[in-house]
Amino acid sequence: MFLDNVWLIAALWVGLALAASLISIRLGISVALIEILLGMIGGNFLGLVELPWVTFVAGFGAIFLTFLAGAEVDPYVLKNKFKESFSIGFLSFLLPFLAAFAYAYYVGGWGLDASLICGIALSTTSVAVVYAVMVETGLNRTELGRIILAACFITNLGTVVALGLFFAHFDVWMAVFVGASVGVFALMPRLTPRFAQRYGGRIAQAEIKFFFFILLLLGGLALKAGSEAVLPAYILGLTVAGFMMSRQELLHQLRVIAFAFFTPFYFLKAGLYVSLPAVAGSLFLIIILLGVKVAAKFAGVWPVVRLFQYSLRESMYITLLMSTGLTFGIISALFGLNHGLISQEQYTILVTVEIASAVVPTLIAQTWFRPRVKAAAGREQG
Amino acid sequence: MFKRIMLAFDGSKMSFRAAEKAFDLAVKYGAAVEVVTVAQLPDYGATVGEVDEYRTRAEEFYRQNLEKVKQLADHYGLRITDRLLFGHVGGKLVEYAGEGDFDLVVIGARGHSPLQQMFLGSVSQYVVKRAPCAVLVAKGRKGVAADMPGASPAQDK
Repeated sequence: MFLDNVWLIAALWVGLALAASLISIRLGISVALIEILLGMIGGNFLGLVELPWVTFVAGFGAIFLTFLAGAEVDPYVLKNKFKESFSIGFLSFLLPFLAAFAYAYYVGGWGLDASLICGIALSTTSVAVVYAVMVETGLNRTELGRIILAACFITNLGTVVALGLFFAHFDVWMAVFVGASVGVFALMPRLTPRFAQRYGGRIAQAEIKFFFFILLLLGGLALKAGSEAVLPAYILGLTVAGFMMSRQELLHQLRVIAFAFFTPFYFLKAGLYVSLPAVAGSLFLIIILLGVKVAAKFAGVWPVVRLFQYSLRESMYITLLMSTGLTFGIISALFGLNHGLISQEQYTILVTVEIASAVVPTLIAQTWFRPRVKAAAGREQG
Repeated sequence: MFKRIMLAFDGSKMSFRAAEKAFDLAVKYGAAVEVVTVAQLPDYGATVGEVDEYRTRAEEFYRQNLEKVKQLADHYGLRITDRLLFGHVGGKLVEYAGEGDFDLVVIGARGHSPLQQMFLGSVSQYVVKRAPCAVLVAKGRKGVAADMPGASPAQDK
């Protein structure tokens, strides 16, 4: 209708992002989820289209979001509770990956690449969903809560590594990418504080541009190697996580930039390719895949949690929370769609399963298995 | 008659009005008052940071408004305790009323339009229906506290 008018197209995208923010504030639901839903409406009813500049902004949104997810990890907990968090996190990735892959390949009749994307997308755990629930119950202040959050990081690390390796070309560019990544990851923990000390805190925003430069550089090399830019972004985030813990205002600035402009395009785009007729037509498969994901998380996580002597109630609660997914699942599905590895119908199925997995296990966990965290006495005032 | 009173507080004018009622009753019956604020975190967030930003903002809002409630309590010669909780507002208030063994919850009416009521419901109605103890809903626009400088307009939290 007005495809030649870049400003009107941008106004439609940003208008939807603005509407998503207002609805999110009003309903208390994450702005990302509302953006996905409005993207669906835009794609199915408003003729919302993706142009090359939207592809770039949305793509950088995914890289930026993944970087932030890595930078928000508490590296000290990960280090101190590595055995527990690695055991839970790795199995929470591996079993759902294998189960969802096997179901899609052997039962669903999906191709090899599509089945791999299915396995990867459904192996994820939503750290943000888990974290919000833990703040509500007070579990985030307990050792158990910290272990679960670290385990979520390991699970999603498995996802990005799988995404980065399964579809990569093992050629000279892969060697360049791996070499550059290892070098940058080794340098970043020491280089970042020095750079920030010398050039940070000024209106030129050298620190932020520094992060953008490294993200784009590694993303570009990952692309040349046929890998995925979110893999280096996530690990890069982790390498500066310790620095970020002491620079909360910088982290806040980065979030403001991400949520104001980049991630809305990413989540709107994620919703744009969800076909509502495909949701209706594949409802049975969506329910089955959700069941496969949750059952596999139970098979992987529950026995290990019990092994660490957590109560039956706590074990059920942890396992259900580890069954949630959203951001990384959608990143994986969109990767598959963008690279022609899955069809739009398969993309629709995976995104819908991920949204359902953010909601259903959380509701069950909160309703029936919430651990009893002892309420501390209120502070006295007056 | 009342030994433990829970004041559900969200910083709105109506919750200051509720504070007056709660403090009046506390003085009359020699009851203890706990000021309880519930902040809602975004459901199904994309990043930990998104949740943390809400949390930080809620804590800041809570600190500022609690100071005003404390001043009001001082005016009544009362010592109060306080608590900030996270979760869905109505459900969390009801849950805490039970856990804290309160025998009265005092809460302000929010004054939604009929349309807002239809879509959003009302926290006070929710608490009246489900609380395990007596509930007093403060209404009306006149009062010392409601005119306190800085009292926020009624809002969803």
